[in-house]
Order: sequence, then C-alpha cells, then structure tokens
Amino acid sequence: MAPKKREREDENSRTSTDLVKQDHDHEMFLQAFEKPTQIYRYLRARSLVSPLFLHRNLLYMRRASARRVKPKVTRVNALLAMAEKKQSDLTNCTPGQYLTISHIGYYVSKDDSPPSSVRVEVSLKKLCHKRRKEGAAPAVTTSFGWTEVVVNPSDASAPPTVPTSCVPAESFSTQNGSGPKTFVLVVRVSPQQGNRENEEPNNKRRKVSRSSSAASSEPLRAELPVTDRAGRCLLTDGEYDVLLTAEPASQPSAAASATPGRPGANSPRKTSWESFDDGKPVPVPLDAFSTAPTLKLRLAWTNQPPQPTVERPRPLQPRDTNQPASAVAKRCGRGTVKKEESSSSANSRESWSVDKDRPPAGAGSPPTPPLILYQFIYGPAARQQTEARQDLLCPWCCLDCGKLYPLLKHLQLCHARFTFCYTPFARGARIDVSLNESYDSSYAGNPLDLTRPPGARCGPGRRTPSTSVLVCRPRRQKPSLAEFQQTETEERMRPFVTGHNRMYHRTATNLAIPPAELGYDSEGEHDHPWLRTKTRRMIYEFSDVNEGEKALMVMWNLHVMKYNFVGDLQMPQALAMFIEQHGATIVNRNLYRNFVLHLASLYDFGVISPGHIHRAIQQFQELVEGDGDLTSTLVNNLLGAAS
Amino acid sequence: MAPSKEKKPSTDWKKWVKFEYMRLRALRRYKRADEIKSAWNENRQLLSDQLLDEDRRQLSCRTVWVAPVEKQLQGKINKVAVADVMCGERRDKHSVPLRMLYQANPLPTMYKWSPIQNNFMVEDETVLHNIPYMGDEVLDKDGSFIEELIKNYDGKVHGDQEPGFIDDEIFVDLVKALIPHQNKDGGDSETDSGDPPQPTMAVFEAISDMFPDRGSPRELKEKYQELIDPQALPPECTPNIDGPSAQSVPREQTMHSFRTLFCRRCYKYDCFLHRLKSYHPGPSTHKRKTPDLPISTEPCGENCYLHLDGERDKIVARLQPTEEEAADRQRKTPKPWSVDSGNEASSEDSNDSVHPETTKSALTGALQGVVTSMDRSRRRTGSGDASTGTAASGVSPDPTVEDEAWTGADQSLFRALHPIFLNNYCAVAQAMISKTCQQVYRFAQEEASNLPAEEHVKDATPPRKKKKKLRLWSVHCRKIQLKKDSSSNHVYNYTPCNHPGQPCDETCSCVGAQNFCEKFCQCSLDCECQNRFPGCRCKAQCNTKQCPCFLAVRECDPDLCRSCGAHHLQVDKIQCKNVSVQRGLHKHLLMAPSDVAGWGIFLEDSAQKNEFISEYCGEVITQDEADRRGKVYDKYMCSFLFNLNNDFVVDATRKGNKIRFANHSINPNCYAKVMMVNGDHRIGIFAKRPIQPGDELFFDYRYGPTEQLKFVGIEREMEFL
Repeated sequence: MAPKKREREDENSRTSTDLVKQDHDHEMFLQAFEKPTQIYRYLRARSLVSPLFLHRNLLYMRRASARRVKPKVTRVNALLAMAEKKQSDLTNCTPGQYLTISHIGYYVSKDDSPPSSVRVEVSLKKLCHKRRKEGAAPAVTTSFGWTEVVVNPSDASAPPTVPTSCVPAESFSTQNGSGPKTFVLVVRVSPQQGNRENEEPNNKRRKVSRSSSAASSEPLRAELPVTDRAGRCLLTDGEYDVLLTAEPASQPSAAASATPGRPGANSPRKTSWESFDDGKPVPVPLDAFSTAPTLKLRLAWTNQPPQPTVERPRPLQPRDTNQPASAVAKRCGRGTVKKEESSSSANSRESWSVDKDRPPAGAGSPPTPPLILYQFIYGPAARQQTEARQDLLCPWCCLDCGKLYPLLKHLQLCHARFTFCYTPFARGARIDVSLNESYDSSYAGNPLDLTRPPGARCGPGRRTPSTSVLVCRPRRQKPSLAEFQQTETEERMRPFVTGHNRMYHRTATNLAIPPAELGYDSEGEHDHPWLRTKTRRMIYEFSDVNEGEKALMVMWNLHVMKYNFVGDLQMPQALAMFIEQHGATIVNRNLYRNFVLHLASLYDFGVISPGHIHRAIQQFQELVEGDGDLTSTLVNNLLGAAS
Repeated sequence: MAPSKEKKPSTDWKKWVKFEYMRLRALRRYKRADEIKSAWNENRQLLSDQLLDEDRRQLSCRTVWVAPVEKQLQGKINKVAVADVMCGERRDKHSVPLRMLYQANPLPTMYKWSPIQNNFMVEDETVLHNIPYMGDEVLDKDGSFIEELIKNYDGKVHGDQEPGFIDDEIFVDLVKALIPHQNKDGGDSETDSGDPPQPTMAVFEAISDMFPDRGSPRELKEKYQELIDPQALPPECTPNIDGPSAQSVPREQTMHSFRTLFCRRCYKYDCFLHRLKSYHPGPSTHKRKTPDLPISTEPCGENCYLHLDGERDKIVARLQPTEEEAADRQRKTPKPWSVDSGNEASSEDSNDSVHPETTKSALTGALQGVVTSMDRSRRRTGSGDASTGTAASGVSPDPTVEDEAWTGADQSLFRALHPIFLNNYCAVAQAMISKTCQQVYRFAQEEASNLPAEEHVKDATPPRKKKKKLRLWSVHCRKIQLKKDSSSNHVYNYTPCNHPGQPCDETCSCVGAQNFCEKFCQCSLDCECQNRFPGCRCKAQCNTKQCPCFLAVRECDPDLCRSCGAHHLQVDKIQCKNVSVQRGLHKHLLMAPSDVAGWGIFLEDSAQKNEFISEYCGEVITQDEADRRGKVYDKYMCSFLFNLNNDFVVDATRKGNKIRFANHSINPNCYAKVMMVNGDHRIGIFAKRPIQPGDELFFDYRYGPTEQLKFVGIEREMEFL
C-alpha cells in the first residue's frame, strides 16, 4: 500500500495571513477527523482480534460477494487431482504460465560514456519467512540466465529485436518447501567484461552513489517483488522502469513506473494518516529516474515460453486512455493520490487524477472498480481533502466491499461518526465525508457496567438483557445508490431496538436497581410503610377517642389501605376479608364490641345494610366457634367487661 | 402585708419569675434540640438499615456486576503504563496494561420525598417552615425575595416564638420552680410544712404581673390546679366499650368517634384526603334504600323471645302480608337495574330463605349458651364469695332477673344495634352474644317504656319503576351535553351537598359548582335527585366517547356502573378500562437520569395510545397555599405543582409518586387529564401515542386541567434555553 501523497498547492497569490489562517483551519480539520479515525482504526484492530460479527454475513455485504457463494464439495477421488491442480495452479493467480521479460534497454546518463551493451542477469530470490527472527531470512536465488541488453537505445538506433528472459510460473510455487515465501525478481546489471557470480556477497564495498555508471565495474541491481505476503501477484503486464542501485542495496529501491512523472513506491506500512506539513520526503525521489541508471523492461505473462529474442515492442503511449494498467496503480492496489487544493481548482484536479488513475479497460479483466473520491469536508469554508481510491476498500477498515453499494452501506452503518454523501459522476463516485454532528456516542451496552466497579464474579446471576432479537421482515428496498445521495434532509431513523439501555435507580435511595429486580415495582404499593405509620400516629393523636376505638380504627385503616377498596359494593367483601384476617386479633385484643360498633357505623353511613352486618357477625362467630381458644377468650372478654 | 403584695409583687419576684422563665425556656430549647437530634438519628438509622438491607439483598441474590475487561489486543493497541523502579542496585521495569473505564456521570440532585399512591391533603402553612437557601448569589442579587416571602406568612417563621410564649407545660414548671422562692420571701412558708409545698398566691401574682395577657392571679391558680390534677378533669372520651369501665351511654355518644372520624369516601377513619369538615356531613339522615333484615318467624334458640307468650303470633301476623309481598316482588321482577349488587342480592336471598338461617342461629346459639351459662355460674360463685353482693343480684334470687343485670357495655351496644335490626331481637342478641334473645327483648321493652317511643316510620319503598330510570338517564345525557358545551374552564371541587328536605335545584352546592351529585351527597336517589350521574351501562371497555362516564371525564363508579364490571374487587376481572386511577392500575415506571434534565421517568413496559400510565399524586393544597409555595419553587426553578381544579392544587414536591419525575416537552408522549373519580378530582397521566419500553415519559405541563399554567413556566424556559 502506498502512503497518501499530498501535494500542497501553495498559491503565490495568497497573502501570508491567509496562509496562517489556512494553516489554522487545516489544523482544526485534522484534529476534527483525527479522533474518529483513531477510533475506527482501533475498532478495526479489535475486530480483527475478536470480531463481534463477520462482515461477510451482513446482507448487504453478501450481495456484494455473491460470486463466491458456491460451497466447495470435496470428494475423496478428486483429492489428488485437486492437489495437483493446486500445485500447478501457478500458485497465486499468476496471469500466465511464463513471465516473459523483454529487456528493452539500459539507460544511463550519456556523459558517463557507457558501453554499448551490458549483461543483465535475471534471477529469482525466494525468501522464506520464519516465524522467529533468526538473523536473515533464508533466501534461495535461482538464476534464469544472462542476456545482453543495449545501452541507451534511441528510437532510431534500437536494434529490431530485444532479448527476453523467461521465468516459468512453477518457480513461484509456494507448495514445496516449508513456510511461506515471497519471491523477488532480481535484476542484475553488470558490464560485459565483469563476470561476477552473484553468490558472493559484496558487503564490504562502499556504497556508491546512484549516479555511478555501469562503466564502473560495479554490478547494479534492482529487486522487484513478485508477490506480496498474501501471495498476490504484484507484477502485472506492463512496462517498467527499474531503478538500479549498487549491488548491496540495503533497501530494494526498485521503483517501477510506466508513466514518467508518476512516482510509485513501496510503502513500508499501510495507509497512514499523516500530516501534510511535516515535510516527510517522498521515499523515492523522482529525479532519481532521470539521473540513476535505469533498466527498461517489459513484463508479460504468457502461456508459451517466449523466443530468446523478440521484436522490439512499440513504446507505450503514456496518455492514452486505453493504455494498459499502470503498473503502479495495479501493483500498489491502494495507490492513492491525496491532494489538498482550493475548491476553485477542485474540478480540474479531479479530472487530472482521474486520468492518472484510470483503470485499465483490458479485455478479460474483472469488472472495473469505479474511481472513488473521498472529499473531507470540514467547516464552513469548503476545505476539502480528496482521497482518490480505485478500489472499494473501506478507508478505515480496509474491508473490501467489492461493490459501491456495499461500500456505502458499510460506511454509513459502521462509521457513523461520519456522514457520507454520495454523488455520482462520470467515471466514478464522489463521497463527501463530514463529521456527524448528531452522532450519539452513548453507551449502548449493559448499563450496569457503567456504574458498578469491577467485582469478583460469584456464580451465575441475572443480567440486564442487553441483546434483543428483532423479528422484523420489512419489505426490503431494492438496494439503490440513491439512498446515500442526500444526507441533509434525511431524518434520523428511529432505532429498531428500543429498550432499557440505561441504569435505573431506586426512588428512595437512588441506588441502582439490579437487573434481577427490575421487573418488580417496588414503589407501587398503596400502603407504603410510612403511610401505615402515619395513619397509626394520626389516630393515636386523638385525645377524645378511647383505646379500643383507636385500635380497631387503625386495624381497619390498614386493611382498607392494603386492599384499596373503592366502592360501597366492596364493603361486604372487605368486611369478610377483615374478619378472616383479623378476627383472631379482634378477639385477642378484646375489641369485639368495638367491631360491632364499627359495623353499626358503616350502617349509619349507608355503606352496608343490616343484612351485611348480620352476615358479618355470623361469619365472625363461626370463626370464633371453630377455635376453642378464641371462644374462651371471647367469652372471658365479654364477661370480664360485665364483672 | 398581703394586700400590698397583691397590689404589686416585689422586684425580687419579678426577678425570680424572669429568671425561672428564661431558665425553663432554655431548658425546653435544649430538650427540643435533643429530641430533634435523636429523631434525626433514628431516621438516619432507618435509612442506613435500608441501605444495608439493599446490600444484603444484592449479595444474597448473587447479582453479578461485570465490568467489561478489554481483551488483550496485539501490538500497539493496548496502552501500557510503565514505571522504572529502582530497587537497590536493580532496576526493574514494571508495566501494567491500562484499562479503559467508562465515564460514570454523576447522579442528578434529588431532594427527599415521600411516596404516596393517593393524594394527601395538607393544611395551609401559616408559618414559614424554613428560609430557603438558594446559594449566596441568589440572595445577594435578590435580597428582597426573602423579605417578601416572610411577609407572605405575616412575618411568622418557624421556631421564632414570641417572647411571651407560655404554654401549659411551661406554666406548671414555672409555678413549681417558683415555689422555693416563696420560702425566701418568708411569711407563708410555715403553712406548707409537711405536705409538698403549695404555691401561694404570690407566685401567681408575680406570673400574672409578668404575663398580663394570661389572666388574673386567680384564674392562673385555677388553671394550675386543673393542670396538676388531671383526675379532676372530666374524661374526654367515652370509655372503651370493651374495657372494664364501660358505661351506659346514649347511642350518639357511643358512636361519636366512629361517626366523626369515618370517611364515607375513603372508608377509612381519619383519612388523608378528605380533611375538610364540609366533606363529612355525617351519616345521611334520609331513609336508607337498603331493606331491613327480614324478621324470622322461627325461634332462633331455646331462649328466643318468640317462645314468650303471644310474641310469635304477633310477629307472624305482622309479617305475613309483607312476606308474601316480598316473595311476590321477587318472583315478578328480575331486577336488572337494581341498586344492589349481585352479592348483596344473594345475601338477601340467604336471609330470606329459612334453612341456612336456622342452622347458623343454632351455631351461634351454642356460643351464646356457653357465654350465658358461664356468666350465670360466675355470678353465682361471685355472689357466694362476696356475701354482700350487688344490689341488683342480691335482691332478686330469680335467675332470669339476675341475668337481666345489664352492664353499661351491654346497654350501649344494644342501643347501637337496635336502630339497625329494629325489632329483630334474634339478630341483636346474636350480635351481642352475651345476652339471650329474651333478655334483649325484655330490655328493649324496658327501654321503649323509658324513652319516648322511637318512631320507626317505615315509609314503604315504592315499587321500582323502570320508567323513572330511563327518564333520568335521558335527562342526564342531555345534561352531559350541556356541560360539554359550556366552557369547562372552571372546574370546582366536589363537596357533598347537604340540604335536607330540599331537592337539588339551583340552591344545591353541587349544581352551583357544576358537579354531579354523588353517592356521598345527602340527597337521596329515591328523592329523585336530578343532579345525579346515572353511571354507564356499557358492556365494553368504557374507553370511547360512547361511554357516558368517559364522555363526562369521570371514571366509572363501581356503585353506579354495573355492566362494565367496575365493581369487581379483583382487578383482573374488570373489563372496564375506565377505572385505572381509582384502582391504581399504573404502569411500572423506572427512574433514571433523564436525557433532558435532571431525573426522568421511563416506562418499563410498552403502552398503547390513550392507555393509563399513572396518577399524578401529591399533596392537595389550596390555591393560596400554592401561591405561597410557588414563590419558593419558582426561585428554585423546580416546581411540582399541578392545578387540580379551581380550589386546589396538587403539589408533588414533598409527597408524590414516581410520575413526578416526568419532564416537560412540547412534543410529549403523555397527556394529563383531570378526572372525577368517585367524587374526587384526580390527575391521570395517559399515553398520547404508543410508547416503547424504556422510553422516557414527557407531558406538556401547559395543558393542565384548566389550561392555566401558573408555576411551571420557569421550568419550561430552563429546559429549552
């Protein structure tokens, strides 16, 4: 992956204050986007380690990757064939069986008085990656012969044929041998007379400057990685300018470029968000191509071994829209151009970059991914930062979405801290990225986690159900890109899952309610303890009410409060319940006559009829007669009053 | 010496009185402070016990509080805290992965409040309970506020008693404290030798001089005598009828406590809500609609008065036609629209039928037999031991006469029961247990001869007419329409009307207040009160405007609306949806910090549109009191006042239920409706639209019952600033 290149366009017309202001704005812009980006980076890393869900299971992603729906059926009989096929599969989807390298010419600066031809050796270096670092990775180098290459061929003086080298695809096989391998195509250039073997390392020599010519006996070399670590072929058909360096090149600084002025470089790391102003040098200076010796190669994957010499190919037309893929764009995959520009020149710049990154329209190639421009919009001024991508990978997750619709859907759903607005244009899509002001970053997990300090777990317990199973089968809209087009008027969709995602507290103590007790309505009772105490106190405060009356009134009040009787019609039932529950207490506390007075009082108020009183008394006496102790207590009480 | 002293107490006395008075006041203050302290400690203990209980419960139910621990991530993702530790010569590097803790937001402030589920009426506060503290800046900025506030209470602030304050307790203490001084004064001391010294007149003169508004020395002395000798006072209350000192008192006195304290509307004694005198007109004087207990012609036992000569024939002769009539009536009318409930009717039936009655009587007769026989034996032994005997039992050896000895409790109880059962002496005797039927009968005859014959005018209830009901119904339906048309901006509190003998016309208080007469009114349904609400006859859920109750913004009255099932005691049997406030069928609410401001209230379960959420409960205060309180609440920018009607306001500040935490919104999901619920105005909060579980509840404070929003304006501004 290539780092984002940013070209700062400082217009001279700007005044310095404008510049300062712009710098300030830019700082603000970076700060605003920095935090969400960091968060999403972190989340990506976390989801790699412990994924919460698999993207490929998502509906919109599945639609994107519908091409690999066929499950593999393995048959025993086919195992061998499969293994062989795999063996001969030219490993990692190399486009052809033979890699044909046509050596077009060796270019050095003219003033070095170069020889007419140089020897070029093509060899393949296999690097086996070891798990543990044990010095240098073991490398096996296989040579594929020497060829003589013309130095500085001009269009006129070029020989009609060019020598070729051929590397069979089997040599890229990773199957034999242990451990994963990467393959590096090593091109060595040495003067005619020099016949060095490349086995001997040349570490002790001083590193010479890049401008050293081939006339000096130094062998020059360049390395071209054939595959990346994932086994994907990086070398695609195309014309390569290979920058040659002195033999013990510490860093394979081969840079290939099919189009002049278009730098390509190996990125040491994946795309990183780097400040534009830190003056980080471009890894490969462009002027190196004009000064250092370069070897022009044409690579082609063919299915037949080529002739030792082939007809000199026609030079490629750099600006041709039908031009084959630029090697850099293809190889680096995520090659990006990031530029900052004033909005006035945005359009022209875009078209410029579009032309540059025009994907190949070669026949038989997979459907061309559209060009995707990310415009980062911040602030009232139309400050933009455009990131052009030619693939459909999410810039934050590096998730390959395959198609535009899944990409947009993914961006919208997984990166909600931003808002994305999609605008189609002629050859691709422009996605305006802005900060989502209304992003609700509230914690949606178990609310209890927010309040309680971590404690030791002691056995199973009920937790707040913080997952919800949603059974909803809405009529699915046909996926259409139009749904991403306007974000301004879009109203926030109500969340599907509503529920208790917060911490509830007791009203009395403000303590958190544990999930096990959430369903119990603790404060719902009609006779709260304080009310019971209150009614008792209020009754006992009366000075002109005697003890028996007070006791009975309190008893009755508590009874009524407990059951919340609402109508006259419920009074007989209330009485029946009262007798049932408190009959024994009435007898034991010697309140029978007060109870009868209470009945009479109810009658006086027209709540119950004499019949009800009669029945209540009967019920009471039946209750008493059923219990010998109660009977004797009652009798003693009644007679105790008499004697 | 005495006259000169009477004229003017010496300066010594003045000094002593003043000194003792101040000492007593200080003592009292300390005592009060101690009481407050201990009460506070008690409350604190209660609270900490509650917290402990909570902790214990959480431990016992093994709730798991899981803190999420971030998984160890590879590479640079995990931050690590590293420290170099110099340990002697060695240099150790300690590193610990940093863990992310979620931010915990502080809880909003909450002032203590007491939970209630019914409204609670409190009196107006005549003194300012405390001077509210709202931070120094408020006081600095608006110094006149406190002054105005105090002025509202006529300058009375709690705890600042006037200097001349003196109450009974202090008075007694003061007199006692001054007694030693009279010895110093000389003269009178020798008279009090031996006995505990009595205060002389000099003491009272001095006090009277100090506190001239307390009366003359003589009055003070009398008061002192009264206070130190409580026995001298007549007993304040009727003695306990179950106690040993029960007396024979008239029925009015026996029933006095019950009658004055019983709340006809809450069925409670000294209820919390209906504290005004006007709410309790007392037992209604009109003739009861409920039928009397039919008199049985079968003797209830061996001692039944029916065994007496001629009694039975008399009863039978008197009852025969009426019984036939009753049976006739029962056969004819199925009573579809009876005032009585089903179970009442069934109880009548059981009373009418003879067989269960007799078996029950036999049972209670056994109890009665036990009591009377024991009574007799005890009396006999008692009279045997104490040969002097009481006058009544000693004179007459006849056992029947001996049994006739009625205690005060028996007499009082009889008088209480007699108007209920009238001449059904069997029932009276059964209720009294301690007396047999014959004894009761004889006593009744005696009472009747002593007292002017009570008139049991039995105005025979006219046979019910269905027509009347229907006519009433149509009248009321028209009335409801009428009420709806007139602007209902003025909602007055309901007070039972009490105008005996007059129909409910323009003079009736209910009509004047545009309220219906309720069952609590003194006007009787039988008197054809035109102002009664007839109730509904819905078979459905009473939640549409088809239901007259719903239309009249009333909840179904369990005594009026029979067909919708509002009368069932079991809540789950009720089909009517228009009883939620009275039954307290509120939704389960949960309190959490609000998304808007402060605390909020959230729905545990979902709610349909127009479904009842909760009642807005609180203290019922007068509008004047609300004005005074509102001043303070406005300053606090937090008000729980809710207009109930033109007379009263509900204030949920001190007492309330959870719905008090509902916040205001201009696009709310709930609405408030003041309903007439069995004679009380109550505030119901209903769902304005379907509400999801876990949603916060809002209602628009502005749409109060009378749409006048006096006190919540500030809160609204605060929210949307």
